[in-house]
Amino acid sequence: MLSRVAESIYWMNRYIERAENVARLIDVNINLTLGEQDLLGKQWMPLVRTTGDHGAFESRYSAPTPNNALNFLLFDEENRNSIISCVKAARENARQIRQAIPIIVWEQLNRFYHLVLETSTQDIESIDTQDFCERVRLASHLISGAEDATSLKDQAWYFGRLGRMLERADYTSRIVDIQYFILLPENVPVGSTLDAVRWSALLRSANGLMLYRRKYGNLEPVTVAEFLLLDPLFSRSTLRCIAEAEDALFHIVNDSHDVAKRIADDPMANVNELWKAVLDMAKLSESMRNTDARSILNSGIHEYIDRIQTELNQIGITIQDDFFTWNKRWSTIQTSDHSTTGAAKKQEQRQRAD
Amino acid sequence: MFIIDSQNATFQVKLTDYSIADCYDELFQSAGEARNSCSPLVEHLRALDVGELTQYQQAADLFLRNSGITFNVYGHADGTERVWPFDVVPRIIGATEWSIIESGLKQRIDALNCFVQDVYNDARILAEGVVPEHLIFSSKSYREQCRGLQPPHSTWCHITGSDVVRDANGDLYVLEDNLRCPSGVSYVLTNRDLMKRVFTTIFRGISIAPVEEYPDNLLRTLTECAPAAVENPTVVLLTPGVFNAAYFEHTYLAQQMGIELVEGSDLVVDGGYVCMKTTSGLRRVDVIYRRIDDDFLDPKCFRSDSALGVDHLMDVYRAGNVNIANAPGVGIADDKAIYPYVPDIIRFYLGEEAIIKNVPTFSCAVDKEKDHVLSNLSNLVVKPTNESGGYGILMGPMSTQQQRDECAASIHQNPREWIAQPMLNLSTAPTLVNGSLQPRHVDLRPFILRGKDTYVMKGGLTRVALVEGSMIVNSSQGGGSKDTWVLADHDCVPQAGVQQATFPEAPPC
Repeated sequence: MLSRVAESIYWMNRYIERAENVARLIDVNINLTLGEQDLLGKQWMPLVRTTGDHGAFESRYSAPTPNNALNFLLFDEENRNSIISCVKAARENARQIRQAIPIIVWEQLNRFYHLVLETSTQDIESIDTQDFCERVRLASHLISGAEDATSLKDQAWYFGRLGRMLERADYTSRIVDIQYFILLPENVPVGSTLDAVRWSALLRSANGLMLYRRKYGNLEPVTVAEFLLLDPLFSRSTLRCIAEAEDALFHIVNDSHDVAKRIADDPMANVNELWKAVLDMAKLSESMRNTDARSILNSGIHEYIDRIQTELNQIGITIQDDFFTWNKRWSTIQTSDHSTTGAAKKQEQRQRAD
Repeated sequence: MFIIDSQNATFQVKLTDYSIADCYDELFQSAGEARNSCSPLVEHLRALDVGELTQYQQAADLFLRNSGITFNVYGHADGTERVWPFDVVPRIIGATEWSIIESGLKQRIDALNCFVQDVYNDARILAEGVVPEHLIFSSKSYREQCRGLQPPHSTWCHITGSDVVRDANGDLYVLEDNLRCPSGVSYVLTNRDLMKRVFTTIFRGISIAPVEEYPDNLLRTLTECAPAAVENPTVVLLTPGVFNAAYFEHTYLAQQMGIELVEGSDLVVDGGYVCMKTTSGLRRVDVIYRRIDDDFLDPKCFRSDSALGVDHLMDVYRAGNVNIANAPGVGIADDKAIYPYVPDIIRFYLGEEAIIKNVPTFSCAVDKEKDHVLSNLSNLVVKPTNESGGYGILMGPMSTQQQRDECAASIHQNPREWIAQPMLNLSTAPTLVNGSLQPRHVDLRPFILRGKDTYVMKGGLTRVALVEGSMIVNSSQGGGSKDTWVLADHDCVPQAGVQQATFPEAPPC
């Protein structure tokens, strides 16, 4: 498939997943803050922090009031990770590759876009935020369901999967990082009485509370971290997502003509070495399988998650190099260096309309 | 004209009140009296109440929005993407009349194709003085780089969209031929799809010719014109990109045909072939259905500043290792300065008279005609010969003195670039406007494919000028569209008595 198309599918899926994750965060936080009037102010900043954009927030908003935070996370187009920005970016990516995605997927994404656009014009006070977040989540589920039910399970599908899973892996690690920072300050020893409301909220934001209870019963910091980060079966745990991404990469590579050719040329060749991303991903998942939550907590959960995120970012860059940035890979062919700016190109695209 | 009366709940679409302006109406031969071929449709419309019709319209609009069926308008910084405007009342063309249009268009395209082949090769028509040589070599669309080229099957015009209009007497004319990158066919297909989704009852008891086979025929046309030695040709659609007015169409057609939609930067010339950059290396491309202008195709051959094209594409093309549809250089045949000569071109190559008339046209390249144009600007429609999308046109009767002065100055400056035609009073069709059916002017763009055979899609894009009295149907300028029904000349009724297999059922308890 075209590298450009692969890249757009990958990003389309990442952005949809990101929109869903922001909606999850908000939904759970609203739930948490209801009935806790005194703590409202404190409750919203961690949320902004989770998205990694607190700098942008602080520079443009006077205070982390619920409405400011909601506006920033839902409809602020200058916040590139707000729901509206994510959905717009997802749609723009999809629009550039409409021919390559199932019609139903495009239609649902397009409806999603209009839903967000229309809601964004309303006064933030008048929006039923929980209902809206629910719709965002359902829209994302609908799209991934439609993708599953109507796609060829070819490279395009796996590039989409790859984007989804990497984004989800990253997101789950983020919420664990931030919430542990709040829920488990350094001076509180592991094992002291837990704030059950908040710990269950953390699990709920990953749709994991019921699943956690079935597996572990009572809430404990160690097992919650184990469940969210390392559970091999929980569909939103970081390790599970990385394993799924690894699987997607495996299919992508095996579906590739380069591989067939390489094996034909040299049956002993280790095909995985062709793609650095495959190796990096394998290393990461391997190291996660060989650790446990207790040692992570003992040696510093923040440092651990930081390392995971750095590696995920690096894998993202490697994927870019391996599959999308075509010239790096097949650099023997000189393509002309068009230094035309984006605007000029846009102008040029607007040609005759017969 | 018919106004909604909200007091009257049982109110129905009283088409007897539909008033016909001073021109030919596509549905009615006189007020309240439907043309024969249109009476079943008119009966359906009469049975509706206006609220229902408006509901269908709203359902259609919602469908278009949700499906993201859009077009881009230039000259707006924001919100360039607009939802495709559609009117739920279809336009009908009878089977007999259609067969005339169909044969007329085939004839025209066959002749124009001969013309392009001749211009770039033997130039017989110029030698014999049928078309003045100076018009060719002064044309912005003439491509010296294409001289001597012989594309497969000698086909240059693979895909054409000609504009057909009707005057006040009901006579049909070809207003212009679009041979470069005609657009609109995706909307013919989505309009039909849309009608079948939201307005099912209107089809009852009516047999119409299908349009749905177009993507199949387009793909066949494109694969047929692959370089001779290629067995399973790879066809791609080359788009300028997401900002182009017709971008929706590019994605739509690529999707319908199951081919890759590529941008110039996805392609590269390697080892004498055009290849696309895929996640698993270079893949050879055999046929390029290009939706970008000649000028931008190859920076090494045409405009060197083009960021949309592919370096050395034309070398591969000339070597016969890739085919391009439509062929570069084909624009010479739809230069409007050539248009007045089309009947002569048909006579020259085919020995036939044109089946569909040309609109009488004054060419400013001819001094006497230029003088006539300059002294009659307020009665004429003056068009630049190499523009499109309705840009740069002077509608004489509606123009201001200042516009006429500017136009006259342009004509003086470069007379070859201007033609003029009488203002045609285009035919009308009933269109839902603010809850009532009103006559609005329409045109028709049928699409013609030329591979081994010539195929005319049954129907075409009916564009409608939504502003009362306006003759400007371009979607870029506020035009809408209608589903276009070519009536089938026989009813296709499935044969009775075929044994149907039954579904398995669970055994009774």
